[in-house]
Amino acid sequence: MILINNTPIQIEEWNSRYPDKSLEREVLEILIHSEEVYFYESIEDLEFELLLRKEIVHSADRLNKSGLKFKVFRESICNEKYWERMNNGGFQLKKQVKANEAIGDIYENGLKYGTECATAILIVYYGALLSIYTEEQFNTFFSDIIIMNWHLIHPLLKEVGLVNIVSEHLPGDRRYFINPDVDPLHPEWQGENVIDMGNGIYYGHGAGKKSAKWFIDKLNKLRKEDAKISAYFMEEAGRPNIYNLGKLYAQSIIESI
Amino acid sequence: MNNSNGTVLDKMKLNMSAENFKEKFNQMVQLEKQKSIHFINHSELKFSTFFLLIEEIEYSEIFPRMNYRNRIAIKIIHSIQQRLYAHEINYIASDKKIIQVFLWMFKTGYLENEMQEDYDVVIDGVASLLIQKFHYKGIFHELAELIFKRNREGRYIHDLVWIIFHSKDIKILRILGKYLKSEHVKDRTLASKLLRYDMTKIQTKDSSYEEWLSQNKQYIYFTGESLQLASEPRFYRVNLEAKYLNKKVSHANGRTINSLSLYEKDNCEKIKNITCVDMELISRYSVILHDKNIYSWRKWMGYELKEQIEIAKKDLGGVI
Repeated sequence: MILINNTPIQIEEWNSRYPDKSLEREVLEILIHSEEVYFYESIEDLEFELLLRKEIVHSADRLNKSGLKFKVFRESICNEKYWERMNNGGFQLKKQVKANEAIGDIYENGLKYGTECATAILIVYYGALLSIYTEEQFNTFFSDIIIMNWHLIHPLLKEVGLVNIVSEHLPGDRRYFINPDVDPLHPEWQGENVIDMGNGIYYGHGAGKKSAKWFIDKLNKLRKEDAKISAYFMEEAGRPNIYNLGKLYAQSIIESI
Repeated sequence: MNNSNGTVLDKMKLNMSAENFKEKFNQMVQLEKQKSIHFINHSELKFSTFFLLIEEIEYSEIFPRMNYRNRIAIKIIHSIQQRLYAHEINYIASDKKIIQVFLWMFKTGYLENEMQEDYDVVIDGVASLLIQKFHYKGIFHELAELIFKRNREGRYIHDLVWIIFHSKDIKILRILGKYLKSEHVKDRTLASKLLRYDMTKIQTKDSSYEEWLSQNKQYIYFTGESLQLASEPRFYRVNLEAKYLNKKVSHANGRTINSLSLYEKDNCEKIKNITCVDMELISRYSVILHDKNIYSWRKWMGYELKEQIEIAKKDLGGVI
């Protein structure tokens, strides 16, 4: 159920805002028909969540087409015009470089970059927020970025580094395929971080947009010789702090008027 | 195995640049062939020294005179660098002596400074194979030392952390726990993160992780979570239900080692909808009481849940 300011909403009220088969409608239908109650202070808060999820999925799609290479951390590469490669394989935004240009460059010149799956998901989030905030806002909020999977993560995005059991899985969620019996010499395949694209499709860097079965079959081929446990899809999901990000968005709209 | 003073080649390597060292070794091969063979085959040569000279050895006339250790080490290095899979290295050797080569590589090479990333890749691969392929558990101290050293230097540690927790050996928690009291703040921070142990307890010198571990080790299991999954992975958890029942669990999967009796299953039903706080309380109390007086414990287990909680709160002062 969805409550906006303690008032339940019906899907019919939102039909005109979001077309049938749109991602927003898919999310709305899941939330409305859920046994869990989802509280929103205002219509704008709900609209922001739908917008953010749509942009996360859109961003994943763009990153998938960008040419970004799959590289383990030790072999990671980046465009040194915008990023400094750290000793641990992460990328740090160079001083005097605008964050929006640096993030945008990953999508424009993906072939100059190579990293592993978790870091790619973080790039997806930045790409989504870049689509939502203005350049000025984005550069103000994210003046200092380190991209190294879930570590040294920007405070505004720290929640994406956590995974929790959720009542429903939604498009735009971060999820994880785990491979317990992975080959000892290939820890990079101990799992795959993915973005839920909706309709049973998931984006994972290095793999593309595939079904859950595809990911599990692929990871199972990368297990040790005497493997007993299949790879599987974890129930937990990671989500950004949509409320806080929405408040920043609302505040910046007010300031721009 | 490790001569802290080092062999002739080890000392040479310490006293000059890598390029000069390789050049000197080549000269030695040309001018004093037997000597170079003797030095490179020395039982106390460090792996890090050997690693620097692999290319020189492979392209020289002394290559056929390498001993078993060196020949196998070269194959292992190439296998790891070529990104082979663990089962693909079975061709290297089928005898048990191969473990000694892996051990030599790791134990004499793990703390090497000033080596390139390709060296670290080999060290990590060797550690992983020792633990996961050969199930050798005698390198945990060294592995922990390497993790914290690299972390202090800002280097990549994810794979090593995965290796050590993937062993699912309870001993590693005590080993990692020692770093909660390290003089280096980066060590304490990392240890706190890996063990999910409250840093404030360390800062107030109230660190009792060892005590906590002793009380809970029989109920601890490894979750398979990793730094690839989350920023704050829970590498291990306590099976509180098992702790409540005083039933040991498998560290690998958290299931009780012995199956539950009907009585125990009834008790599990009792605690199904209990809050996390109450669960922590009664599981802790159950262990303490069980150790103190098993008859009192059996009596307490027979009470309704509400009464169990009240007694536990009263006796423990509400402190979990």
